[in-house]
Amino acid sequence: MSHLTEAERQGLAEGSITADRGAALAAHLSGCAECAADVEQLRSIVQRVHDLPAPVGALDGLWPDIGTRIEGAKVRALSAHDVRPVAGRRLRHVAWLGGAVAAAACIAAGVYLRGRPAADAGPAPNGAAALQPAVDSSRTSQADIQRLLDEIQMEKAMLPPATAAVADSDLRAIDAAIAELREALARDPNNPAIRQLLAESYRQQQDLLTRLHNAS
Amino acid sequence: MRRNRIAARRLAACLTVAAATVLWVAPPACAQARTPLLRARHLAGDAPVKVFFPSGAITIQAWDRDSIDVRGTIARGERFYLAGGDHGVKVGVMDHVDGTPVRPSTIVVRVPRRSEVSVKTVAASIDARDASGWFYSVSGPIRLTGAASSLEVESMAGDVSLDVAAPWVRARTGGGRLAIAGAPQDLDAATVRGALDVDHAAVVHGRFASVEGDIRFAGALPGGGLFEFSNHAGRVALVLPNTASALVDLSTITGVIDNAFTQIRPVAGQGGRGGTLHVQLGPGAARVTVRTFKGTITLAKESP
Repeated sequence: MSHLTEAERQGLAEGSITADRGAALAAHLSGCAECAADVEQLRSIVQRVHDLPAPVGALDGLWPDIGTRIEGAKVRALSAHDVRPVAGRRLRHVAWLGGAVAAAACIAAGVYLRGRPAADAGPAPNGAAALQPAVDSSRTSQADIQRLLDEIQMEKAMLPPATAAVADSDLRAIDAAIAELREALARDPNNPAIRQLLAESYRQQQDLLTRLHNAS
Repeated sequence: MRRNRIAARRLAACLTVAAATVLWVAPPACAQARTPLLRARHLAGDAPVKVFFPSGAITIQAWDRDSIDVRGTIARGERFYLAGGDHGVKVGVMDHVDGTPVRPSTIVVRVPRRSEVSVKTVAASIDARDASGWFYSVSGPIRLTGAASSLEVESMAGDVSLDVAAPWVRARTGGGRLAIAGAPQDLDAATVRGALDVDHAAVVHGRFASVEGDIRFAGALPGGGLFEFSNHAGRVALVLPNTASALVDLSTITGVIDNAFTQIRPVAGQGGRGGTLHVQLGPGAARVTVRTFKGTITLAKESP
């Protein structure tokens, strides 16, 4: 007897499988104790994760500047229409990368993926102002950012080590450029050339994360 | 005795024939490792073709037929697929679910000229001629030639070489080299650390960017052309013909501007660092903007 795949077990556990498919898989579970036990275990883990409070404190500890910027950039509360079900996450993800949400995520990813110490991540007042044009169109929630970062981390882990190393080098190069530009903008906030270079660096970061997503 | 000698001769003859047969039938070791492939089917002229080809070499060629044709050799143990219908197909070699590397195969895919292809490889090289669509490789080199309706080319780390005529081209690579020639009219090209070379390409609108890679643009600027170069730490070198006609606007925050085209000197920036240079070459028919943070900007004449 062939067992359910890992994706099928996960899908059953988190309820993201379609009803038709779910019925077929449930039939398998009724005759396979091994799969049934595994799915039940996954369900309990998923339930425990759902029961946990939102990790607001931990998130702020990781990215104090990101949290401040995102909160500051929020201009509206998410409506029920914006909160989509877990199913279809992959499709939604592509849309994120193509859209403005990714711009803000890129800023976060640039900091997070390189594991910069939290103390270094504090934004200078002028630096935060400089970021404003890049995040103006990126009104989004911290939960969306968290989800995107999780997926990017997972995708990076699935790459061959050599490719992941290349991606890390590229991300570091872009992050160093952004840091230098932010410093320069803090000293000379009205310099349009620096603003344009900074915008270009964010665009590069977004492009790179999109390519990274495509690689997995 | 004589009978024994005859029997021995017969036995030797049989063994010789058997050995020859075995040698003739058994292919060499390299051929044993691959399975020949030939598949074809009808396909609508504008049908999309989606390709996943992890390792080896894939060649895509557009042809004036309403069919797809795949030839090549597939590594022994790997699974080839060609699935779909008249209005779209998927073709390629299956990835391994356990993440182990896929052994390299080699295929040539012929697609209808108006097909929109979508090609993704991991380490496999992509060589496409007259094909339009999206080309992606994690680390394999990508080489596109011929004419296309639009091209989007992306690589994480591989080299990208374009010698195409197309109204719209977007090209990206990280650490690889991006080389552009041909006639990509509307071009958006960027690298992170790799060099970006534009060699006498007939670009009308061009946007070129890098973070650390050197950008070199050599060739003519068409009247009405718009060119924007942006680099953080890499160099930007414009090598233009003596007859160039353009309004050129160069600025660097902390880098150096080296003008070997005219006598005009750049104006130093704040605190003597960086600088700007605005110069009109000829009647000023094209518009060129170059910005760097700390990379050197060079404006030079092409050798006659």
